[in-house]
Amino acid sequence: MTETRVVVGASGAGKQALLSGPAAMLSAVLGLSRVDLRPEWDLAGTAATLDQAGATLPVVPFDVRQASQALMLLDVLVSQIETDGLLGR
Amino acid sequence: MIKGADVQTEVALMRRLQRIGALPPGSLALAYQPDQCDLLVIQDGAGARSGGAGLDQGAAGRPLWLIDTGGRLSDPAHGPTPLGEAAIRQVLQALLPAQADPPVPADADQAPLAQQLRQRLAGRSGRAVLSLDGVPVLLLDFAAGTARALHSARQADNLPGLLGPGFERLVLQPVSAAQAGAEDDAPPLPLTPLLWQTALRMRMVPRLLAPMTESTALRMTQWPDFRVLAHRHDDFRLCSLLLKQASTATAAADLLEIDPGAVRAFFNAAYLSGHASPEHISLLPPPATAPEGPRFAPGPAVAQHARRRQETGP
Repeated sequence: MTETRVVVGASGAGKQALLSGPAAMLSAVLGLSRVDLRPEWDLAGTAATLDQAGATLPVVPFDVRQASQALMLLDVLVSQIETDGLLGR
Repeated sequence: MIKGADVQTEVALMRRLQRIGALPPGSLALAYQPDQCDLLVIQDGAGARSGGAGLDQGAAGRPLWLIDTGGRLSDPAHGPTPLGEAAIRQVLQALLPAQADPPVPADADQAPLAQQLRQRLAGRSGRAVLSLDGVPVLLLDFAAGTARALHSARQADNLPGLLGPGFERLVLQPVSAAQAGAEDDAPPLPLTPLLWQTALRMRMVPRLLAPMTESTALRMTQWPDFRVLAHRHDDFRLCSLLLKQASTATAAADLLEIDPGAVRAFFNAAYLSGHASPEHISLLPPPATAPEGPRFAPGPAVAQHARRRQETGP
């Protein structure tokens, strides 16, 4: 069974553990809440940092107060799991 | 110059004049300064004739036409009768400077537009103007990653809807002195999302952008900004697939059971915005040859369940 994990608001240490560990084998999505409060947040830079760490994860800005946006995280995660399954990973 | 017209009217008129005049490509361009114009076209309406006369005073002999709401052109010096195609062609061809050889289009030896845009995006430097049928529409700032609507395009409420269907007629041009000062007049738009949305609106039955072909396998190099993707479930699935495995459009459509046209539109968007790069090999194995073993592929059923939940709420 593919191990799956959703990281929402994880601590810095948690994120680092995920990235430096088996992140490449995980179906994961990184959700960033409250981006609306930080419009200058560099989403592309966040994605680039993840890439450099060897984990090309989807970085999803979302508003945790809206169910549809939280479900979007699951939607992305499902697409990751589906792909792993289709490719036999 | 078309005084008082919206961008759709301008583009439609420029296309029409190009066709009627049988003019060489690139010989017709819209200018917004009266002293730069060889031909004035003014939106017909109250005061147009007196205003047009004022504009015409500075250039004796310069043609002045009126265009009504139906797109009909007339010469106020000869009354309201619409100009026929022969009369329009005669004026346009008389405006062309005498040339021994037909002019060579400025971009004849250039890469396809999509490739030019990708290179400029990757270079992150310089600026350029994007013109549609000779109408300057956007000022692109590759260093800042922004685009600003120019002139009448500032009133356009759907720029991707304007640019997408006319993508093959778009031209990247140097910034003129007059356009260089336009940056303060319009709000900056994020360039990459604008290109992504433009690619999705190219045509009803999308074809892959040159130099991509049906045998081109595309690989995503990074997840796009999710504000670009909006909430399109199939685009999530394509991103997930193409990040892990290069694929042709047909193979991806078959594997994910998505309409091939939608996949081609996604390929165009991912390529144009620089989020994906072509690989000319197809690496996808047929499903029957996938390795045996425990695996979980939720597939469309689970995906549709998630989608239904989103649509109906918790």
